[in-house]
Amino acid sequence: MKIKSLTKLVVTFILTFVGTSSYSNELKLGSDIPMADVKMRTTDDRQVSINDIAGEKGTVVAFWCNHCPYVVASRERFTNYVNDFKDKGISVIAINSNDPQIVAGDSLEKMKEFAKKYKYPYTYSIDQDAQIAKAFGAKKTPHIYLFDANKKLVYVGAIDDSVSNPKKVKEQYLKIATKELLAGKNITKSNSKAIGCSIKWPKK
Amino acid sequence: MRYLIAISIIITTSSSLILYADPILKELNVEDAQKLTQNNKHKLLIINFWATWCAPCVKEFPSFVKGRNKYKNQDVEVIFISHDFEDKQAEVKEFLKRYQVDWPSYIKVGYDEPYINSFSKDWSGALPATFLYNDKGELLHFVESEINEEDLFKTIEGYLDFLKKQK
Repeated sequence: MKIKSLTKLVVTFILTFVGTSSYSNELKLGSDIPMADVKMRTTDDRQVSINDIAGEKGTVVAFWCNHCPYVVASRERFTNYVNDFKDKGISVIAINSNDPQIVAGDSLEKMKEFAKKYKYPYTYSIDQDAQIAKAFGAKKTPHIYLFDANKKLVYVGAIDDSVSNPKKVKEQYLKIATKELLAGKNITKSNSKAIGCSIKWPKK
Repeated sequence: MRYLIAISIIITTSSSLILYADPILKELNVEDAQKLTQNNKHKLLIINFWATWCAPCVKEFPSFVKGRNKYKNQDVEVIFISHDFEDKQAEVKEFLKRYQVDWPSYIKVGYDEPYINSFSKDWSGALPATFLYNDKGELLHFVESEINEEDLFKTIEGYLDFLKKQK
């Protein structure tokens, strides 16, 4: 009897486990920007929401951080992307959802240091309690979302097809999607995947 | 006395060489990854996706080594696939050596997207991640977050029990 109830417990546990591991809560294409009016503290000590910075032609929300080697490897490429499109009506906000209690290198102070040192040409903000990441269904860094002029999701995923090695990039997914968006075309590849660092969710 | 020290140094060095031989680290592309799961004959195959720089991966790593040793006699195998950058193989080997992983491990090479989807369309690509397969190479379960030892062992036992009942 004891063994049976234990088995039942284990099976229930497994089912619960499976239920929480799915990627299905990812924001669907065509969705509005979640929590677009929630104010976040930035590295230049402003309080901004995604709506505050939204671009006339499009808005990029990038789940970002300091420490992750995939972010580090993408830093220059992302800066180049932002510089290419900032005068074309595309606004960019990078959001750090990692709990600094878990990763000390992702504290607001360190974010300020990085923004200054690497001359980030975009808003870099802190996602208190990872509420924005949760609402987006973001899982990792880097994790990029591109919204159109009407603030509907048109692209989600990676910056390009070779995050770990810039020399092997064949497809610049985000750049292509942005160009298509600006040209009023349908997005050919509206989602992509890359290996990334899991978001370090705050402990309850 | 000097001879004694010299001899003891030789003994210590040679014994550690025997005990901790260089770990086997093979490159794994998308085709190899598919073969790895499809050709699985172990009752339960656990694949752990990790990287040396990934703090939660490093934290859970010893539990997987322990789990492998604990359930090996029930035909459970644990395979580690490192997602360190391709030029970091020496660091990966050093890490595997430290944890005495004396069975073959892998390091992922090539493009991400086909590789991620070959394991599961539902996997975002976040590390750490852990996948469980049966002896037909079918995916039983996956989780894309850190697992603590208790949960890992419960999951292994739960599936061993589940597979036994299926037969």
